[in-house]
Amino acid sequence: MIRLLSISIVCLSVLWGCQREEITFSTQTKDLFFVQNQGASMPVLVEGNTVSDVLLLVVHGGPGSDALQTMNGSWMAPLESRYAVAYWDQRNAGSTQGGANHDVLKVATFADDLKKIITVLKHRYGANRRIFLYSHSWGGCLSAAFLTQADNQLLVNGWINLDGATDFPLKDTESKDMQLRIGTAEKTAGRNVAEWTAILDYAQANDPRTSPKVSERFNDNAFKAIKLMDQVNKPGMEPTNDLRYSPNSLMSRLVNFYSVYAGSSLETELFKLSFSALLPRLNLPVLCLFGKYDFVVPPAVGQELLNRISSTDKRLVVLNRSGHDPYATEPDIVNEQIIRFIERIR
Amino acid sequence: MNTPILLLQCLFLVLLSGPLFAQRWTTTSQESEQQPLRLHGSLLFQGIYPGFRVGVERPIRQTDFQRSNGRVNSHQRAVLFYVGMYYHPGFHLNTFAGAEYIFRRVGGRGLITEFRSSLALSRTFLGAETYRVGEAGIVETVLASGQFYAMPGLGFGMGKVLGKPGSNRPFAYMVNLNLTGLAPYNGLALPTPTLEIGFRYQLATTSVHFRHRIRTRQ
Repeated sequence: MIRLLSISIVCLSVLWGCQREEITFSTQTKDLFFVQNQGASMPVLVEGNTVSDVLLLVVHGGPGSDALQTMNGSWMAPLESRYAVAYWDQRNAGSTQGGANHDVLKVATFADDLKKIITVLKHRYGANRRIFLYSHSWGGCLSAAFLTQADNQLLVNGWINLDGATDFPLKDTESKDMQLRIGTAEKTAGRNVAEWTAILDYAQANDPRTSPKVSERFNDNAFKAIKLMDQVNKPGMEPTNDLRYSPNSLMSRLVNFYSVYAGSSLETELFKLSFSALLPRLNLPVLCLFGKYDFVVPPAVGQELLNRISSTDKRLVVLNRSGHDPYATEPDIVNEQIIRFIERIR
Repeated sequence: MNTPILLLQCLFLVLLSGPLFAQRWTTTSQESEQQPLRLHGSLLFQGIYPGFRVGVERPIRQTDFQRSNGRVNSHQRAVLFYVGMYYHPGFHLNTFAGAEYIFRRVGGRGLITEFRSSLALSRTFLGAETYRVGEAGIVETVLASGQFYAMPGLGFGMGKVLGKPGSNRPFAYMVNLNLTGLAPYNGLALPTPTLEIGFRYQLATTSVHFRHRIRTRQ
């Protein structure tokens, strides 16, 4: 009996291991595959129009958030109808699987992962595919780490940077400045006085550059501040597919949210991270989209990025009714700007 | 009085009370006997994702408490050797093999309650085509891609012996709630809670030695 069971398990495993490569070219593609690199097995879900020669690669925020579920909202539909969109869960994020890999949890490893993802996308969908990075928040930092390295910027055709944190020290000081400036105005106007008082008291008494912990507290207050702004649109709840058959694993998402920091030196590395000095190397087309009320990564960080890069095709769009997630709060304007940007340079 | 000392005193009282209650029972028989192996089979659900587990249970020890009304309560210990899998489409297929130590009580009316602790070796198979990029930038397909994990677990189960009440009836059904995990998963552990609905059947063809003790009320 045991022998029979063992043979069954082995046969099942072999059959499972020999899956056929499925590459779809249609207007409603839904291809899933994994890319293995340095101890991580990262899922990539390609959705939308793969007949188009344009592919948007979503570089999600966090670190520790995800693309397959969180960034794959209904707001992406207009982009998916025109282009292929690749949702990639980074290492130690979302539904990415791996073992004990904290020793390689560094920004350089994430950048290496991104390069491998682009290589596999070109292998699957054609080397002449026009790839645009669609990065958000920490994804902007990761994209900068990748693009400023060697000739990596030649692998992509453009960079769409939504509230990207390319300079953490600058992000911290600008965030503090914004919390003090807008917080004081809101308090004076008598709006949410108790909440603003707590935020202002902390901002006045502390410097976010003291330690990663203080910086993290400023980050938390920045998210609270966004919620207090009536000017920021409140998007509806997106439906979740956690309770349906899907490649997402709710448990994996929850665990990875902590695994990216627990026992790793990533937080310390991010605290000091700035790509400002390397940005003049960039000469690819760049579109920056920032929420006017993004206290987390203020628009000034986007302006600084544009001031430093050597690109001639560069633009900053500030969205007046958005905080840190303009793709969800003002999807029509964001998508229109992205489509215009891609169509101009494709 | 501070809390640790109070806790130690409570623990001491609990430990002391054990032998006092035990004195109410006398061992009337203690010998090594033979008992058949038991076959286990169950359907399991890791969240909404289905799977199964099959195995063979080896009895180790059994103590029967004979009550004055003729009913027998049984305390059993056994080891279950099992293999199983669950399938989460697009995420992974998890296959595992391991052993489980079972603490079981069978009541006079055939009601089973049990506590289980297990340790298994898991091998996952990723839910889609997997690629690796070599040093020279060459893209390769990875066959049977996945990962080995340790899969420890704790479980609680309830069930019922079918047929005439008493220990060692051939057929029983069980519902188990298991909290298992895959470790190390990205440096931590991935909880994989499972609900299990299964049966246990006493095989007539094989038997193993186990310690059987009968105790009666004084």
